[in-house]
Amino acid sequence: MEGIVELMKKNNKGVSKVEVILVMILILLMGLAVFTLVVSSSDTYKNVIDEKENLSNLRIAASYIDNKIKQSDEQSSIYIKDNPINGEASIVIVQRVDNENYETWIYLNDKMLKEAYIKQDQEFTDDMSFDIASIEEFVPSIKDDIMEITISGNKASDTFSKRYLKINLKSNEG
Amino acid sequence: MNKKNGFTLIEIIISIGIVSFLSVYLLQIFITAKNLNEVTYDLDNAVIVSKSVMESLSAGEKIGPDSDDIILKNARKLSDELIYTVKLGDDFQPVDSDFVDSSYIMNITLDLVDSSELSNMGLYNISVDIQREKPYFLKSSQNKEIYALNASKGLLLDIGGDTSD
Repeated sequence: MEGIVELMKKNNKGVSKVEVILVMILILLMGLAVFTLVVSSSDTYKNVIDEKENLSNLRIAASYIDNKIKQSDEQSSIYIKDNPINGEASIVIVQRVDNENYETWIYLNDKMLKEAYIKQDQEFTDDMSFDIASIEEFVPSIKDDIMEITISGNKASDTFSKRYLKINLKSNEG
Repeated sequence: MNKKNGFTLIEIIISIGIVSFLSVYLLQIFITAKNLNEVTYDLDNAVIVSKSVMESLSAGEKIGPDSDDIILKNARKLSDELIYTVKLGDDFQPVDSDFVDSSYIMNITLDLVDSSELSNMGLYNISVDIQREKPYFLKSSQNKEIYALNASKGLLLDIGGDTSD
């Protein structure tokens, strides 16, 4: 009898294997929870920032085009022409300053909406322009008095969206 | 002295508590950020679509099936008064008027102020407003007005055929 009591006392010392395993599982689960939290948070954060940037670029592009057209809405001053850089349709605004004609080209190249301000007879190259906003599609067209412009953001983004702008050209009326 | 290594149960419970608190807080931040992005998306699109409709009306576009403008073409007359409505999808493009699950509704209200027999023109107060039909994530309010645009414009008195259903 004394021997059995002695053995029980011995067994009660320290921790059993099951306890160690349970604690290890608990710690592992906690580690996994923290890891998942960090990974999913950084993913969500990235998505939120991407979406914000996408929306911001589209807003800047739409607002810039709208302002530029409205400011320059004069007789025979706004045209749609294929640009010499990539041959895509672009908006060209002609202004007369000090008896010389200047052209403002609004065009898309390398997923960037750009503006170049040059003399009418000057050769036009991409390095003359400056960046406006990062967009992937820019399709301008004129039908009767209405200029229609389609712009779209990053196509790879989950939040890809298009904007359809319409501007009534007062200079084309009548 | 027998020195014990490792964590006590209390330490683990406190850690789990901190992690849970952080997750709830982070989740709340992300839901708010997502909803704010959606509000921005709605407002951006609502401004562009409302302005485009106003520009089309200024250019002499009719409201109804004869219109070249895709939004005005889908406008349906609600009553005898000059109130038109267009159902819009997630991309702010018109959907069928019978479609029950539309995301947004645009109301165009025309109010004649003064008419001129000579020029066949009338001065109208035009009001364009866009409402969101679906609530934002974890929000309950429905039919929230996103944007409203008002202007007075001279329009042709014949503003298109009756498009009421």
